[in-house]
This record gives sequence, structure tokens and C-alpha cells, in this order.
Amino acid sequence: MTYKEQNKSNQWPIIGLVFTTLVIFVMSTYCFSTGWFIVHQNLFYIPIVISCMSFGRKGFVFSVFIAGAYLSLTLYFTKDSTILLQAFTRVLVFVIIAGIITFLSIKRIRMEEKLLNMSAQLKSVINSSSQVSIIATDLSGKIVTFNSGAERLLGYSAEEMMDKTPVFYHLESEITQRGRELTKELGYPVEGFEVLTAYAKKSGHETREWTYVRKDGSHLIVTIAVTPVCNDAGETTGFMGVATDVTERKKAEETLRDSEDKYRGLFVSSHDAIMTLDPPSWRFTSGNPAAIEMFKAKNEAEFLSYDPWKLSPEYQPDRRPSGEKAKEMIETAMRKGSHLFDWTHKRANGEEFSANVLLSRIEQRGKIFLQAIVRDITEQKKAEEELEAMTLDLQRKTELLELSNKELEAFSYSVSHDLRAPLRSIDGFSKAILEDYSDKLDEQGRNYLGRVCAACQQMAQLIEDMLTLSRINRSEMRHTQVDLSALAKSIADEFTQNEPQRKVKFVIAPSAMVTGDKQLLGIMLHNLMGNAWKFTGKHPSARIEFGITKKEETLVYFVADDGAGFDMKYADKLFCAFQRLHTPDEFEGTGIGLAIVQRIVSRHMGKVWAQGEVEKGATFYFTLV
Amino acid sequence: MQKQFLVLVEDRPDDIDLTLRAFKKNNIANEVVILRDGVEALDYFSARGKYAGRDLNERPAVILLDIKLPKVNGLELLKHLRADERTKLIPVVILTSSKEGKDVISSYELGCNSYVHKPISFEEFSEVVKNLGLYWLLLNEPTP
Repeated sequence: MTYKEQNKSNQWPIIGLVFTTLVIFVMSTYCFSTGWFIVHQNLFYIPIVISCMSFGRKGFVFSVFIAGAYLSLTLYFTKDSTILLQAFTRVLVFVIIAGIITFLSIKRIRMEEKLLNMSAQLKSVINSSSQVSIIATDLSGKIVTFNSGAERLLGYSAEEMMDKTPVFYHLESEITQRGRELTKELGYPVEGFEVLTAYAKKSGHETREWTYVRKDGSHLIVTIAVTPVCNDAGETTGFMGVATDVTERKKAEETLRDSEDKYRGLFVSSHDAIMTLDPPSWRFTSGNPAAIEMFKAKNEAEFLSYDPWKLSPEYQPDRRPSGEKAKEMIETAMRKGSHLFDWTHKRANGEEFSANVLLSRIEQRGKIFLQAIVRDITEQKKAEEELEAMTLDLQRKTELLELSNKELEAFSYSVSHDLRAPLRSIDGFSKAILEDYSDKLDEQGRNYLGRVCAACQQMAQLIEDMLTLSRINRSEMRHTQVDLSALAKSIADEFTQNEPQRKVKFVIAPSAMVTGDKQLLGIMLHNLMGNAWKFTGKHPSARIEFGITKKEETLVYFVADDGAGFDMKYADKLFCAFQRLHTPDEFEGTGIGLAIVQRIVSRHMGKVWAQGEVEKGATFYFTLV
Repeated sequence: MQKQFLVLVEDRPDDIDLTLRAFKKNNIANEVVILRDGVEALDYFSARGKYAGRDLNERPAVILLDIKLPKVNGLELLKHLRADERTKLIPVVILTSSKEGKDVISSYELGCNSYVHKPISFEEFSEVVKNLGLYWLLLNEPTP
């Protein structure tokens, strides 16, 4: 009911009054005309009482007017002085009674108006407060008030919610959960709407956090204060819930808690020791687990009891007293804001260790203190030292290697120079004897000298091959695109031109392009094909092939012949320097060719292997990377 | 015409004898001045010490120079010869057992006119010496 509706109901006294007054006037006039004064005299009480009770001051004026009318009527109908006196007395009593009633009525009306005003104000406050949700229900839980704050918060309109219970927009699981708790606590089954009010009913008030489910399905965290609503008689007529949206606050709280957790986590899980120190004594005020572990304290309390000045040896590595230097470091940090430096610390057990220390000045709510982050770099130092030792070792080894390489170079230089010279003398003077003293020697003598010369030639060849081998190891690699097919072709041509009488068919796979040192690859191919040429020499005709095949996705090149071949049981000796599978009588050679081939292939990060059978030929495979 | 002669800078007596023998065998009768080490060669070419008073205008048709020599080696000697106004135009042939690429390159860099490897076989050696003699004494036009 609104205020205006209440005003409308106040028209009834007027209608009643007008009607009563009219009836009384008509009846009074009739009574006067018949002389029934007694009857009409009392009839006038009725409108007076009604008007005074209902209209206060206006009613009183009206009553005086009625009293006047009554006196005038009485004067009109009689001149009897007794009756007139009686009437006058009555009018006086009327007015006094009307005055008293008016006075009382005014007081009552004023109070009523005041109350009405107040309730209207309250209503308007409840309805218009949009920041707070106010929902009132009757005893059964039916919603009777649903203010604009509730509408805004929940997204439902007041009309939609009338006669529904608040459980409708509460999170069901929460109601069930709280219901179970209350059942346990209060000792009787609590469910549904009662969950929201049971506690308030018992203790007069309850404030709790709840989750609202809005019309759009989203959740809202609210604090609801529930109070029972009582009538004048003190009986509970319903409940009122005032809800405040705390989602934002909750979020802020969570964010704060998260960030606190995060920083706490950093502090707790850090491998670096983190501690705070307060001026002016610079005692520890906090220390993380890493700090406790690092300085070998039993717990934080023990750590905090340590004197920071005692956690360093007496002197730092630069021979400065730790105390004096620490003061300087702190001063620098306080001045610059932060300061990073190397420091030697001492654990509680006396063990010293190297550390990086970062001192930072922190200002929090006007309070200044220092934060120290200490990183134990013992392991790092150790690793650095190890690395340094390793580098040194490597350097020494490299130097040794360089030295031995130089020695090798000197050796081969001397081989090339000094070993050859005596050979030349042996050969030269043997020839001189053969030429100048031929007549003084018999056939055997000449034969012996011939052997000396042959041995010289052989040794010269050996020296030559050794030098080639060492040159191949030492020579610098120049990588280019090399056409192995073209190289094979030119080698084949060279052989055919040198010994045109031989019947050898060359089969050369086209366009075998590789990346490598052209000169070395040429030497390698020359050796392989030279072997094929040499070991097919005793056959009337031969076939030599240079080809490409594939083994597990890798290109494999090969040189195959159908010559003397070899026994696979000596395959591992093939590539050793100066190892021969044939006597010089069978095939000449120094046994260096395949060793050279292997060196060249391995310098190209490749592999070489052979397959053969006596008198059925040999195939040499190689890969290049 | 000035008498054509050549200079052999060689420390090994065997090689000296074999070289002379090869000249003789090939009928090259020109005088061969033999210098046994780098210092002696320097003295010879600057008319000092033992060779004081030598007429420096007498220039050999060619100098046959071994690399490996006592005291001052062949390459150092070559450097001196090329630095000296009086000798810088004399043809120098490096005659050595070395086949090292390094030696060949240094020799050419220092200004030798030819680099010849001494074969071990006397027949081949003799052939080399003959060719050298014929070329430098007969074919080649000497510096005036």
C-alpha cells in the first residue's frame, strides 16, 4: 500500500460526517417542530465526536458551527427560558467536550502522520538503495520486498521474484553444504530456506558469505546479513536479508593473496639466501630457508639470533677487515639503492665460502631497511677453476701436439733431404765402379753391385711414399666441388696411354659430384685405380669399374676390378702402411698406396673398406662426407 | 769472349764428386768453382777472406745451389745474392734433394731462376746435370 492510497481511505470520515450531519439536521428540525427537544439535543454529539476525532482543529470549528446551528434552531423553535438555558449549557458542554476530543485527536493524528512519514521514508530508502540488496520475506520464505539493489545485483526484477524464495537464486551446493553443517550443529534437520534463517532465528542475526547465481548464470560473492523482522508485538513475521557484493573485494583479496603467495614462494623456494636487515644495528629481521641452510642454522629463530658481522671471516680476500668493508658496502647500497659485490662468508660451522651479494635498500611505509641476496658460488668457482685447469691442460696438449707436429715436419724434411743424399752416393759410386772397374769384376761382382743399385731405388721409393703419406696428413684441405667421374676418366686415359698394349675395359659411372679436396681425392682415386690396373696386369683382359651404390641412405663409391684379388682373411691388413699381400716378384709396390687412400678418406670424414676373392678381383668402397 | 764457368755450392763431397763425374761423362769441360758452405760462398761473391782480391766482374754462367748447407743455408745465401747489386743478376739454380713444396715456394720467392730435384739414381742424376750444363752454358744467354 502506498502513502496516497492511505490518504484515500481518510475520505470515509468526511462522507460519514456529511451524511450524519444531514440526517441529524433533518431529524433535529423534525424533533424541534414536534417539541422533542430531549431527543435532538443528544443527536448533535455524533457529528461533533466524529469530526473532532477525525479532523482535529477543523473538526472543532465544525463542531462549534454545529453547536451554533443547534442554538439557533432552539431559539427559532422556543422562547422557553428554561429550555434555552439548558440548550446554552449543553452547547457549552459540547464545545468543551469537542475541545478535549480535538486536543486528543490532534495528538494522535500528529503521531500517525509522523509514523506514516517515517515508514514512507524507510520504504523509499529500502527501495532506492541500489548499492545494497535488501530482500525481505515472510515466515515461509516468500519474497515480499526486493529492492532495486537486489534487482541490480541479481538481474531479476522485483515482479519476477515476488512469492519466490531466496533459495531460488542461491548456489544450490552451498545451501546443501550449509544445511548439513547446521543440521549437525543445531541437532535437527535444516534444509531449503531455513538454511538461510536458522541461525538468525536462533541468535537474532547472522552475517555470512554466500554465492548468488545471477539471472545470466554468472556467480556473485555476497555478504548477507540476515535478521528476523518482528511486528509491534514482538512476533517474528519474516526475515530481511541485506546483501553486499564483495566479488570485487574478494578478487582484490585474492590478487593480493596470490601476489603474497608468489613473493612468499620466491622467498621460500629461492636457492639464494634472502634476508632483511634493519638499521641501525643491521641485525637480521628475516631469513628464507636457503639462508638458514646456507649459514647452517638450525631454524629461522637461530638464524635471526646470529650476528651478521660474525658471518664473515675476519678478513676478505683483498686483506681488508670484513667489518670495515661490510660497512662500506652497506653505505654504498644505501646511497645507490643497491650494490652487487663478491664476498667471502662464513657459515655457523666455521666453513668459509665465496658468494655474490646483492644489497638493496628497501623503503616500505616510511621504514627503510636492507635486503641481502646471497648466492653461494662455491660450485661455480669450482667449475670455473676446473674449466681453467682443463683449458690449461688443453693448451699444454695443443702445444705438445704442435711441437710434435713440428718435430714430424723436421723429421720428414730431414728424411727427404738427408736420407736421400747417401742413397745417391751408394747408387752413384756403385755405378762408377761398374763403369770404371768393370773389367776388374767378375759376373757375380757386377751382379752384386746391380743389387745394391736396385736396393737403393727401392729405398728411394719407400722414402718417397713415406713423404707422400706425411704430406697427406699435413696438407691443408681446400674443399671444392669435385667431379670424381671426370677424375676417374682422366686417370683411366693416363693408364691406357702408358700401356696401350693392355686390354682393359673401363666402366665409369657419370657425374659423381662430391665436395672435397680435389688434389687429395685425385691421389686417392689414382691409387685405387692404379691398384686395379696393377693387379689385373697378369690377366689377358680386364674390366675396371668406378661406380656408385647406396648403403643405408649414404652414397658409396667403389672401384672394382676382376684381377688377382685377395684373401678376405687379410682384409684388415690391407690399409696398414708398408703391409703387402704380394711379393715384389708377383706385383711391385711399397705397400703405401692403400694407407694413403685411407688417410685421404678419413680426412674427408669417410670410411673405406674392401671386398675380394683370390683371382676373382677386388672391390674398394669408400664414402665421403 | 769471357771464359764460361759455373759455381757449385755443395757441402757433401760425394755429391761434389758425382756432379763433377756427371759433367765429365757428358763432356762438359768448363771450370766448376766449388764452394762448400754458405759462408765460403758469401766470401767468394764479395771477394773477402780467402777470396780477397778476386775479380768480381768474373761472373759464373750459373750458380748451382744446394739448400741444406752448414752455417748459412742455401736460401739465406740466395737472399744475400739477390740483395747484392753485383750478384743479383747471376742465374741461380737450386739443386737439392728436397721436394718439399715449402722449399720450392721459398726459393722462387727469393728469386731463383730454376728449381731442380736431385734424383737418386745416378743415370737420372747424370742426365739432370748434363741438361743443366748444356742449358746454362750453351743455350742460356748470360748477363753481360
